[in-house]
Amino acid sequence: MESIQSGGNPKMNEATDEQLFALMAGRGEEAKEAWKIFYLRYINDLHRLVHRLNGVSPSDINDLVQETMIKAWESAHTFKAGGDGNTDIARRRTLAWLCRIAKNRYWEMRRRKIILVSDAEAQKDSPDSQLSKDEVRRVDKSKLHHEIKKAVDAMTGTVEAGAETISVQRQLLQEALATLTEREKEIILATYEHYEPGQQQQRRLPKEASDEICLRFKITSDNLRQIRKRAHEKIERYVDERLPAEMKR
Amino acid sequence: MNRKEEDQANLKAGEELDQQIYEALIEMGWLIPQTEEDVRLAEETLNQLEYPPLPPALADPSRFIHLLDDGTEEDGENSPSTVESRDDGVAANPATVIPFRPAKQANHGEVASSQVRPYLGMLCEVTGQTPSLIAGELDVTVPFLTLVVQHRESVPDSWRTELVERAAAKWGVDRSRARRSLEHPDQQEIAASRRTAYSMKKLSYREILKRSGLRPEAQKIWIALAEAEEK
Repeated sequence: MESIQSGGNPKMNEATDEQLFALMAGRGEEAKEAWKIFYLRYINDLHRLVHRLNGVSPSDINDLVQETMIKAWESAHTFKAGGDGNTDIARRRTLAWLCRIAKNRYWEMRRRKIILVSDAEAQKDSPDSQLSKDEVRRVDKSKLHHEIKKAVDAMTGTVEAGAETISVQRQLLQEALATLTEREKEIILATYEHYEPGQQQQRRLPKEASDEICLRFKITSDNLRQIRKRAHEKIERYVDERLPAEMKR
Repeated sequence: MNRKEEDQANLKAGEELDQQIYEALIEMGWLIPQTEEDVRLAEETLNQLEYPPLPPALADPSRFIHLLDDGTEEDGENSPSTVESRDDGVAANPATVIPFRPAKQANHGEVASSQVRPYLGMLCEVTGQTPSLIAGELDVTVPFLTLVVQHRESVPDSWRTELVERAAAKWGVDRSRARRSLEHPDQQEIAASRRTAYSMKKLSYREILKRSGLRPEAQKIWIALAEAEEK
C-alpha cells in the first residue's frame, strides 16, 4: 500500500470522517488506509485535548492517545456523523466522540493506579516493606500547583481583554481548584467527571466511582460526602472573597 | 423572599456554580471534553497556551497498524512491531512506544524459554502486544490478570482453565505453558518489574473481582465459574 504520509490516496484524503468510518467499519481493502488518514487527521487535536490531564505522565498520555485511536477502529461502526455539512461542527463532533473513548480508557488507567496506591499503602506498615516513594506514582502537589499557576497565568490575558464577570469568575475558580488538597481534588474531579451539562442536582457520584475513591483514600462514603461539601464551600468562599463587588449579584 | 424561594435560589446558584466548575476543569485540561461544546471551550483555551509538539512516537500510524484487529496483519507493512510491554501491575515502564522489534517467537504455541513468566508478562512476550490490549482481547482487565497471579492461592482453578482456554483460542498459546504461568509465577521477576511492592494482604476471589475493574456482567461470569467449582 502506498504511504499515506507521502501523499497516498488523494481521494481518500478528501473523504469526510463519515466516509472514513464507513470504510473502517466495512473492514474491506481500504479500511486500514482509511484508519491511517483518520489517525493523521485527528492525532494532533486529540493529543492536545488530553495532554494536560491531571497526574498522568507523558508516556501514559501517549498510551492513552494510541489506545483511543485503536479503539476508534474497533468502534468505527458506532460512529454517527453530524454537523449538517458544517465541517467545523463535524470536526468537533468527531473529537468529542474520540474524547469519550479516551475518557473510558483514562478511568481504567486511574482505576489501575488506585489499586497500586492502595497496595502500596497497605505495605507501608509492613516491617519488610521496601517501598520507595518513587515507586508509588503520586501527584506531586507543589508541582501540580505550579503547573496550574502557569496555565492560569497564561489565561490572564484573556480575562483582562474580556473583562467579563464570567471570565474573572472562571479564573478565580481555577485558582480555587488549585488550592484544594490532593484528596479534595480527586473527589471534585470524580464528581465532575460524571457531570452532565444542563442536568440538575449532580453532586452525587455513581456507587462505583464512590467506592473507588473510598478505597483510594481509606474513607467511608459519609466522609467522602463531607469532604466534597467542604471542597465546594472552599471553592465558593475563595471566589466570593476575591470577586470584585460590582461583579457580585 | 420566603423559605421556598430561598431554597430554589440556592439550588439555582449551586447549579450555576457546578456548571462554572465543570467548565473551569475543562479549560484547565483536568477533564476530558465530552461534548462538542466542551471541545470548543477546551480548544479556545488551548489556542492561548503553549502546546508541546506531538511526540514522535505518535506521529506515524504505521507503527500501530498491526494492532488493528482484522487478522490481516501478516503482510510486509504490518510486520511484527510492538509497543513496549507495560502494565501498572506487571511491567516496569508504562507504554513508552519503542521502535519496531520482532516478536520473540514466531509460533505462539512454542515455548521459547524454560523460565516461567507470569501470565500477562508471558502473553506480552508471546504476542508483542501491550497488557491493556491483551486484557481487552481476553475480555478482562489488566488489574484482573495481575491479581489472579498475585493472589493465585485464592483463585479458583476454573478461572485458570478459562484463562488458559482464552489464550489458546486467541493466540494458540500452549495450554501447559499458560497454566504454569498462572500457577507458578517467578516471583522475583514480578517483583522486579512492578512499580510497587506487593501487598501482603491476601484477597479472596470476590475481592479480586471487586478490585478488577471488570464490568458487573463480566464479574457474574467469573463468579458463576467459581461457584460451579465449589459445588
